[in-house]
Amino acid sequence: MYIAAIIALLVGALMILVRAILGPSAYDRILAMNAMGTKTVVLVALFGFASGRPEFLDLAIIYALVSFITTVAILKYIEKGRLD
Amino acid sequence: MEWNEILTAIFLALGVLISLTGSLGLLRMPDFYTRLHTAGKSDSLAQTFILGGLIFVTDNWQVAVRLLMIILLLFFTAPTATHAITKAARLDGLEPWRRG
Amino acid sequence: MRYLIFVVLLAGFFGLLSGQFHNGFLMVVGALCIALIALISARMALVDEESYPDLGTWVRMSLYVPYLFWQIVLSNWDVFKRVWDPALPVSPQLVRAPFSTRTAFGTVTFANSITLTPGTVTIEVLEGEFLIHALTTEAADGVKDGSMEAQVKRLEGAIK
Repeated sequence: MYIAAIIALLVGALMILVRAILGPSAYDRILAMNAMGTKTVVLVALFGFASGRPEFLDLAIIYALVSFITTVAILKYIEKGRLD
Repeated sequence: MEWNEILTAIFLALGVLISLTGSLGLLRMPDFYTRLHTAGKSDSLAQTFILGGLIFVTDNWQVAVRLLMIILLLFFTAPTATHAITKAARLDGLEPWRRG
Repeated sequence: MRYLIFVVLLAGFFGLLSGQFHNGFLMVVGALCIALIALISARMALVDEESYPDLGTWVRMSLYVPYLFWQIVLSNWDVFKRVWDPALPVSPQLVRAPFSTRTAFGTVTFANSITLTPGTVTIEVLEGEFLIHALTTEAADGVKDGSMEAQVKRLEGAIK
């Protein structure tokens, strides 16, 4: 059950990756990366349940926070050209 | 299968279907603004279904609390991130696509 | 008072995540971290009344969330139909919709709710109106009928 869900999510991740490679604008790529971040959180949580180690959820929480901050930081860099 | 596993399977299937829809939309839509619609909307519901579905199969309250925490976190950050991207693109002067 | 709630919330968050109340070292480190975070937040003036709404707002919020969730489900169904349709039936357009919410909280909620309803995304908040990207003509008309604005205004309630 978990494995099937993980495989289906990976197929979705592949589609997102194609969009990130195709672009065409930087914003399309960031949007794809952001969607990928949400997917990764779900994947990590599912993987934890599939392997019977729910401690993976801690990693998922950290990843959710980091991916949000990454998106905002990259956007700020594109908009202002610096991060301070 | 127990009843709670069946419930989880249903939620996982729904979430995965929505998630795949979002990914396919991201691939098929003609321009950035239309891609926003599929990416931003499907993400928040898909993660709610998948992570919410997992709550039924755990008997550990700490795991359940963590799942709820991730759901809330993504529920608030995902639309914020989407809006930040939109605003940056708009300020950059990205023009919306029109049919015809 | 606000800082007391803040510290209790932080302590609760730490306790929930670690759960190892028997480990003295972890608890001491946790208390130190909470003190540090409270100090930094005070220096940055992060803890204001916007972060701690009164009870009435919480009650109205819990009434608003089911409505919002139902809108999200409808919205996903709409996207679902369009994405899997081979013809890709979209005719995107920009529309401007006026709003009359009085508080920053209400305006933000309204803008985010428009983003989550079928076929529309708020791009920018201008003076007294939103710039909205609509996926279809029907969606563009749907924004202007004002049923959602009424809901948000009820949420806003008596906030000054």
